[in-house]
Amino acid sequence: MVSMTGKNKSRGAVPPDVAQQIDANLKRLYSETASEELPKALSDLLTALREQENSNGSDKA
Amino acid sequence: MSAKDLRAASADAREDIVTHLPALRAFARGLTGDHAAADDLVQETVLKAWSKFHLYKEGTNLRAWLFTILRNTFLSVMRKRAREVSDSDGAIAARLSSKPDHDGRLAMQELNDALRQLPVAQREAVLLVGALGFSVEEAAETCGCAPGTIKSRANRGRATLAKLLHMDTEDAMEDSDASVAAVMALSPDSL
Repeated sequence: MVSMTGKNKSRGAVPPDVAQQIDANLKRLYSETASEELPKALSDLLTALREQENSNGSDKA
Repeated sequence: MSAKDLRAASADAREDIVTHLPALRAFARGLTGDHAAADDLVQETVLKAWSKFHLYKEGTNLRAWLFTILRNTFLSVMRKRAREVSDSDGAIAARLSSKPDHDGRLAMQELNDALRQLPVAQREAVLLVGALGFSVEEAAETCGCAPGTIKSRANRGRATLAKLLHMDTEDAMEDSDASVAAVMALSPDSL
């Protein structure tokens, strides 16, 4: 039988090793996104914004 | 500085937005749990940031400024959809019934689903501090609250995730397989 009373953790806090494990998994989940190429719609938007900028600011020498 | 120079300078600074896009996308995915919705959110953020760049104070934290825009955009979308969002807590919880692999890696889809279960305030704190490596101070600046608030939201968020993902916080670490199995065998009422 497993004792459930070994350590009385205060409610709401997780032990540091569990917290670390969660953070490591979260990082893994999102590191992929961060290394992906930007989607085309987003790079198109940036291109459009830059072009707009250039035509608005075309008075700069 | 002439208006012309000012405009040229801010046009250059605006390009720095681009360097933050990957992290913004990650944050958006974490908040929405959905790739398409996340990309819409990032586009909206870029549009706003670009057109309101004059409101950004040069020399202050651009990353926090951008993340704040994304977050506020997300929150206003959420408010609009408040009704639909009251959704299927039970259905999601029911799917979250497996334990971590032996190596402690969580199934990514489960982690993603569990994140959806967190209140937004805890979700964003966990994402910023836990997933994206923001300092507590920077996350506080992003969310417009005190550092202590971020800390406690992140802790509560992690605690909820640990519970949803059956990472037993009492004895899982000493004897993970046996204790996780034991906890899973118990009904919530008997704990």
